[in-house]
Amino acid sequence: MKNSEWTDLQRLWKSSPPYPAPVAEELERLARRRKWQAIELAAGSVVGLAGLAVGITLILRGDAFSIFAGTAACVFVAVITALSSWAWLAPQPRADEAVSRALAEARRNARAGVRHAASMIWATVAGMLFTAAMALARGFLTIEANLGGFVVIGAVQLMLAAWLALAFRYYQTRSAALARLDAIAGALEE
Amino acid sequence: MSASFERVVGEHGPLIRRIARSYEMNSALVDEIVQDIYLALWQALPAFRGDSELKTFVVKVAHNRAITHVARESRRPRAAELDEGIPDPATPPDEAAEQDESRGRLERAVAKLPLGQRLVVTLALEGFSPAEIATVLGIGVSAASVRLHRAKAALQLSLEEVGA
Repeated sequence: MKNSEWTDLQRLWKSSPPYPAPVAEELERLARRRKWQAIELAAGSVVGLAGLAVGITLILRGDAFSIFAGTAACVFVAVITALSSWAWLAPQPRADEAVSRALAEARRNARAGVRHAASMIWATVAGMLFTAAMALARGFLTIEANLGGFVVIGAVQLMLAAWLALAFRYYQTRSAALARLDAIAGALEE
Repeated sequence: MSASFERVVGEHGPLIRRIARSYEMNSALVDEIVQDIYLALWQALPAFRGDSELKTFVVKVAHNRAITHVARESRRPRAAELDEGIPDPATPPDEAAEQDESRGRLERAVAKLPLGQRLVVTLALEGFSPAEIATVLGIGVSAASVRLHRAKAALQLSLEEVGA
């Protein structure tokens, strides 16, 4: 391609018509939406605290089953919270980072997200197995029916089901993003 | 809104839109990318200390946001799959129709390139030197020169394909 042809192409490329500038209010609305996303994350922490409260309440009931189940609930919440913190506290690339470095950072974060989601899924499966084992043991080892026990088992199952659904959705999202980022990285290296 | 942001919008608004269009042909999604880039710039500008040219800073932010968009929109159609036409959000004036048509062909030719070459070509069309392209991409200058040479050749072929 001759220099003059290239210069013509550059001129043509830059001849795009003017577009309306973004409105400050719109940008502020987007910034607020980002804040709401942070609030949604905080809501996850509140759910975790609720799980912790259930665990402590069980421990305070004093009988052996409750202490065991309460301790397990606290451990479960601690593991999930630690996994979430590890994923969310991953360093984000600077907005003006060089493209290759920003992409490498984004891929690292996406991989961490996939591992985090997988860990959450397995932790939830472990939690469900534990709850089932506790329910079966209580059913076989005690004679009288305990309404409170059924309520606790139901509440724990609901919480675990919600965790599993969220973790699965998160796994799908991050896996898709990782695949796409890998494809982009491959294309940039061509 | 800070004065710096207004300067960015004034000086580099069209550049930002062109970068967004090189990643996405769907005009609604282009608007989404542009808005995302503006938001990233709005948030990042206070940290800009003038270590590089403002234009280089803007281009890095724009490409990084556009790549994030492409990664996030994995289930939507990609730019390369939508090369049958570029909807223009602004109605072109009659006297500039021919130029608009030529520009549309150039944009289609650029959009047909693989992402790596597209990125290099758009930077070169914006007037970036191989050294500046290397800074934006985070690669060596010689590697940038080689990629630029290949990308220009690919663009020429692509232009012939779209009939420019």
